[in-house]
Amino acid sequence: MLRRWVRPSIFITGDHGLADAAPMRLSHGLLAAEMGMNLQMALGWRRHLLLHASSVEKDGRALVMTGESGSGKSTLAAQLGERGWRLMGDEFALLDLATGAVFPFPRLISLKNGAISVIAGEAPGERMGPLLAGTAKGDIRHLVPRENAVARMREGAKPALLLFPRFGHAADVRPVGQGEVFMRLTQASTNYVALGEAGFAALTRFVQDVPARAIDFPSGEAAIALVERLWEELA
Amino acid sequence: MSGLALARALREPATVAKLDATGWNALIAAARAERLIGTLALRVQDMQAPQPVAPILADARLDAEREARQALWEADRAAEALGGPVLLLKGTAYVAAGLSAGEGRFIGDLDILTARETLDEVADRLIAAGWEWVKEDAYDDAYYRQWMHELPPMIHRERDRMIDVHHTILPMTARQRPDAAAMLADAVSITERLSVLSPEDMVCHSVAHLLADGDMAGGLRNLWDIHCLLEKVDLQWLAVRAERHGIGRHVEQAQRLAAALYGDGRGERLSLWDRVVMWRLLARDGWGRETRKLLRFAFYIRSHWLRMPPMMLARHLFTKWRKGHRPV
Repeated sequence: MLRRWVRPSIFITGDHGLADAAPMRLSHGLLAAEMGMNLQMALGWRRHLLLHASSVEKDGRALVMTGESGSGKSTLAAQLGERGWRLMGDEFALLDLATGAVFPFPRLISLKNGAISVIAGEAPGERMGPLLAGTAKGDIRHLVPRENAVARMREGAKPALLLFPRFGHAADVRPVGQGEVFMRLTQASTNYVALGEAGFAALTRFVQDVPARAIDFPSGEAAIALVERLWEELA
Repeated sequence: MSGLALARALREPATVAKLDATGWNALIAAARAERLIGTLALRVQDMQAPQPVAPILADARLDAEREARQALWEADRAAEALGGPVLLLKGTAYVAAGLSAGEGRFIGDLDILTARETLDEVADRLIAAGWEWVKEDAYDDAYYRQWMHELPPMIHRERDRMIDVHHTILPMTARQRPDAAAMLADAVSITERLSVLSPEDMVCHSVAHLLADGDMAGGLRNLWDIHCLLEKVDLQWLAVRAERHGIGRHVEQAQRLAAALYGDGRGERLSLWDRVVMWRLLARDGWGRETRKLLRFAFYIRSHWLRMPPMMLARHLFTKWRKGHRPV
């Protein structure tokens, strides 16, 4: 009861049977909602193989980008989403177990620290959320994706290119072998183990069908030029 | 009250055809909370579920299938590690023996029963095969070894699955002393390496956990197990067996409750205590969240009361409290 006045907090947790989340400051409620949603998807969803990846679509084909937090995959997806691509999601790509198509999971894009000013310079202000300063994940601002992202949220796409972006290095493109792609994607998946054989089959198919590259880039502009070039060549 | 809706849907699956969106919401939430979603999904035909619900039920069926496969694999690994017949308990046993109680059932840990004098050897063999102790707490460890009906939980370091090794079915401090040796002696082989309890002992085990132990968390599922298991038993022999394990009264109560909630015995004469237990079992709101906090708390206190004598309980609660444990 006291909590309502002294240090108001918010407690968002997943569906029954999932691990509890820690309470957060009420002013960071938007982040708590985002993390609750992520937890629910990551541990509760079994209908698709989940890849912790961002994805964008053009001409019915999808570009999937995966990497650690801070690799630039969200920022890159947000930027591409402002430049003619359809944003499919910045957190999860949903790989269909039967068809191999990638399905979107569009929601607010979570921009962190340096990425905030980059995107604020490109996207109209009314689509930017409030600044959440000093969260456990640093400064955060959310971007509402463009209308087509949500309007076409039921529409999947054939995966055509997989990138492992890395922000903050001199521009470079490296091939990645199928074995390594497979291992990195099992680590990027939150439900690969839970899905058993079906997950293995879906991932094997993805790895065999989709060309993959690791890319380094020093800035957003360089990254976009690199991505557009690779898309022309490979996808 | 979503607990009641869940019981009704399991009892008469065709009645779900009448549910509206709010009704389905409550039913699915309660089924998830009680870990009965897989069972529900197998009982309800897809034709009876509206379009947004059908995929949820299909997911639950697939999940249950994977769950069963994984549980059987764990049982196989344990048999391999122990190099001899393994007596399975609870969910894994129901699935391995192909019982209706296993259909769609959620299975958490692997539970096995072994004679008390073999515990050290069993633990050594499991450790050699990759299982590790979960808790590194001297008090908990000593507590388990002295007073509990099972070893402290172990987890496999590669597969991340837990195993509970039981040597009897209630804590050593409980008022009832089930005859574990008789259970072991009457076990039924289902494969060369796996066995399960006799049908009557299965009911006794499940009833002991539901009504003579614990705070009835997950009780609707336990009662569903009992309802299914009762189909296979010889009722006279069950009564004899229950007396032998010191839980005759509990087994009778479980039969009344199972008939009242899941069977055709809705006209069953229920005692006041039966009604209180039922009230506790059904305490969920339209989002599947727990309600009746005070009643739940009373059952939580009761669970400890049942498990150990008062002075020992006081000492235990004090130790746990000092370590920062708080009941929810």
